[in-house]
Amino acid sequence: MFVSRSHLAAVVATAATASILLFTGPAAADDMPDELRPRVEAICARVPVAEDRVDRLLARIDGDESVRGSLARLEARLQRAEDDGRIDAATVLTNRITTRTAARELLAARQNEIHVIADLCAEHGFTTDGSTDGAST
Amino acid sequence: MSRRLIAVLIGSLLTISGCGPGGIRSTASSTSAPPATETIGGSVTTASPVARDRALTEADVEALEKTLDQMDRLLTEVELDLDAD
Repeated sequence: MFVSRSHLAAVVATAATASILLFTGPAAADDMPDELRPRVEAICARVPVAEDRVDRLLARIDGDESVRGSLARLEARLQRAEDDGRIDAATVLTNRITTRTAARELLAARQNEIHVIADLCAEHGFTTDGSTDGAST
Repeated sequence: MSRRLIAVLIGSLLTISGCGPGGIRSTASSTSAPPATETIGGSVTTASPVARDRALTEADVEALEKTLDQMDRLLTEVELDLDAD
């Protein structure tokens, strides 16, 4: 069978890639120094707490006019201020809406970061309830 | 070893290490916790990327602790802001 140089090159490259991936897989929790283990467990245990706080804050911001802290509530107040001709109050409320909108975007970004940390915990053999999952211990 | 073979091997290695064409951004985002540098309410949060494909180090753990501490402060700030309505 004729094997061209390019085919041979591709096969060798694939083999090299596969061998590197096989020997550099995700690190297990038992690769880390023992003294770090409690700290990582504590970090991972904080993940669901932070996630819950972010979820609650986002729900408040996205809530309807009756929800304290919601954008809808601020917008309703702004409308009333404008209707009443209270210019200063309207300006303050407009600024608060801008800040609240930015906070909402930031919280959404933080939510993604929390998921990244949760994934990191899992990949290193830690659960987010403050323990190791047993797979790597 | 032919030049082509060497080129292919080097290309594979660079791609794996995240240095190949288009590899820096995608690998950095897929194997690292996101470096956070944002400002809100006067607080600045900065965290070093933490690699996933190796054992965690002291520096990684410190970066994660710092990230979560700063996140806690941010969440408290936002809570206070919402409560002020």
